[in-house]
Amino acid sequence: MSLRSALFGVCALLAGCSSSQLDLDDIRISRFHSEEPERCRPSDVALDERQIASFFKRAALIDGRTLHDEFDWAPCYLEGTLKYQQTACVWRVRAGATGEIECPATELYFGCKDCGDLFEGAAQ
Amino acid sequence: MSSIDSEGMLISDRVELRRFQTIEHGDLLGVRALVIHQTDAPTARHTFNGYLSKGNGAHFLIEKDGAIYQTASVKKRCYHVGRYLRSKCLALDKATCDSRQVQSIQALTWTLQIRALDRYERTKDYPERYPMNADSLGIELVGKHLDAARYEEVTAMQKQSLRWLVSELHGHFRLTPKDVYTHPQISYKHPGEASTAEWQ
Repeated sequence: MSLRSALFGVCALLAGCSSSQLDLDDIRISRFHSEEPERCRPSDVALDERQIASFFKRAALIDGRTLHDEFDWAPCYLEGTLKYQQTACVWRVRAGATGEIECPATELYFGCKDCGDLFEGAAQ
Repeated sequence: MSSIDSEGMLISDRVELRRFQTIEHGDLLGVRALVIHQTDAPTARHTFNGYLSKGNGAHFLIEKDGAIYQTASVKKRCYHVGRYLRSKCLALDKATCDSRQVQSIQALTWTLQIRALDRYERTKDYPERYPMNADSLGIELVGKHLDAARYEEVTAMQKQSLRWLVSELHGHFRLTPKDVYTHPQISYKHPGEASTAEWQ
């Protein structure tokens, strides 16, 4: 079993896959990136570090299939770094309320169906 | 050479029939287009297990070794396109969009934009818009999503089977190469999905 599936399995047993148990520290924002800059803009994902932490706390830890079937892939995202279990990782949060955490040995996916306030509020 | 029986199943030595009525959702009134997907699963069996309990799926599935399975009748609708259609006029020829309406939609936040564009696109007929569940067949290729940019490369045997299947479906439904799309072309999906598929 890979580390990724082991993490997902553990998470699935805990609190319905909520990511709030994840040990995330030292969240920093590095940059905004858009593959469609006319349509997906910085205002669509204008979150600060505190809101990024809130996103990962509120979002569900999901597998790739759920990410594909139940969420929309936004062409713009905020990216930065954080520490997950003392390991330096890269995170991305996309305008469609999905996120990724890439660590040297694993990649975690997140989706939030209840984060409209973070994204729609960000654009105002 | 294949034929389609009264149940909408493709009859050929090259196709194994493995129908899952759990992924069929009412009648498909016509087939105007084909949409190529990747499963994000390591084997066909993983996807079949998912089809037993889940509502989403596609009409055909091609295993890594090139084996072709028909998983739903071509007379039935499957949920394979996704929630929101992309705008075909914005992607291919902006001059054919209603510029005032599209301009007002593009002023919205991204999440509101994709809903509004979907409503706008669904007022059009195919081929002015991208295909929907109601007028297209889905073809899944077994292959895992690797990272934020890539899926597994489609195998040579999958490409060969996909070419044959697409050619047969072209004949049965009078389609042209312009009527074949990859999933991320028409809906907001991982850009790597089916990006290495070849059908011509």
